[in-house]
Amino acid sequence: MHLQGGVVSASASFEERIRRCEEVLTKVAEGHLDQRLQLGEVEDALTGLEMGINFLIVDLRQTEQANREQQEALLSQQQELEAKLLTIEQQAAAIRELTTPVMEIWDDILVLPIVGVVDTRRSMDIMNNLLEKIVEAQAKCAIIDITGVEMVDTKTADYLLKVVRAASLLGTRCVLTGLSAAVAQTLVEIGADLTEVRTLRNLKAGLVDCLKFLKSGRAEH
Amino acid sequence: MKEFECPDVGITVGRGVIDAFVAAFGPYKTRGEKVVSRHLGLASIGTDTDAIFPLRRFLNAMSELQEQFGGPFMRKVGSYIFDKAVFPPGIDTVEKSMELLHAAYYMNHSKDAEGRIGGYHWRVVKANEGRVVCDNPYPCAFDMGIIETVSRRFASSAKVTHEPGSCRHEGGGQCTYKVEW
Repeated sequence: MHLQGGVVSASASFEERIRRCEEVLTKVAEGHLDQRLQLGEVEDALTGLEMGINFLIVDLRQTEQANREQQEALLSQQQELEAKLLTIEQQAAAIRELTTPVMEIWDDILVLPIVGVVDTRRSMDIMNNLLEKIVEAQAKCAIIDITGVEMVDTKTADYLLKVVRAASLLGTRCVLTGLSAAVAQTLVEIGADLTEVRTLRNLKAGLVDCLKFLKSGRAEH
Repeated sequence: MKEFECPDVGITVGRGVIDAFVAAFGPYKTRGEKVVSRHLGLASIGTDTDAIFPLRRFLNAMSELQEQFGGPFMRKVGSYIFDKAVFPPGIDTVEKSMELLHAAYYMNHSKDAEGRIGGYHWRVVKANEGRVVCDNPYPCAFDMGIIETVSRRFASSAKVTHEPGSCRHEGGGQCTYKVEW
């Protein structure tokens, strides 16, 4: 704390004390809230004003400190939330990777098992993962197994067709397996056109089909 | 004792000392009442002139004000003690006033606190000169304000100076004031 005026004697002139008030207020306006006016030994008409200025400075300082503490708390909360958000995003990415695994179960044969609900985001992930793996493994066959998909709608069916078409463009033959009776019924009801897709009952049948395809291909060569 | 250190939570201070504290706020008495009430943990200090309050909490209020406004404010509080607190009757000279400061101190604090919160120890050095040793938990500037005001009430030319050496404001256990008139 800086006391302005040293020991103020009773003889300090009115003008001198007003000048000190101005000095203190100027410093306070510049942000130096540790300034205080030294009170004189004798009380007079100016004493109340000097005390009032001191009280206002103290209040201002307390308010500023409270604001600073609040700002720091908010910043800390924000950082905490951002860290949590980052963790959630990382976890979501990890979950996405886990929910769209593409495995090479035989030479030139990939399997993509799909479990659960397929939404737009997941559709894109499945498409990207499968195509990436096809390019990487130069696989000739891919089996998309939807045994774990309980419900399909127009969008899901449309997406499956898109995946098959995209894989064909890369020279890979796609087989859809694991259609349940309920799913097959839904596909018929919603009028999904799956004529260009080879569908088989289960994964085993799909694998047999792919092996046959590969064998016939080698025989031709 | 060091400044603002009260050895026991049970020790109390009388209303007059609180009133001196509030009076030092001048035209801002309401503010003074709020500060002291906040430290005492009360909604208001009320109007009961015989009320007593925990000394330790009151010292906390004084410490806050000294921190905010420095010694001059404490000196101002001290200057109101003679008018606001209880003093023994028959004080009519500087010497008598200094001699009875200790008795007055315990008239304004718990009687059973005697010996545990120091006091005001006066000794005459020569004619018109003496020393007051203060080893109570109040701040140095506050006692300076009391001694100056009380001595000048009976001798307008009275001069009070802090003797070199131990000072409670510097962390010491007592202050010695030279009083000349």
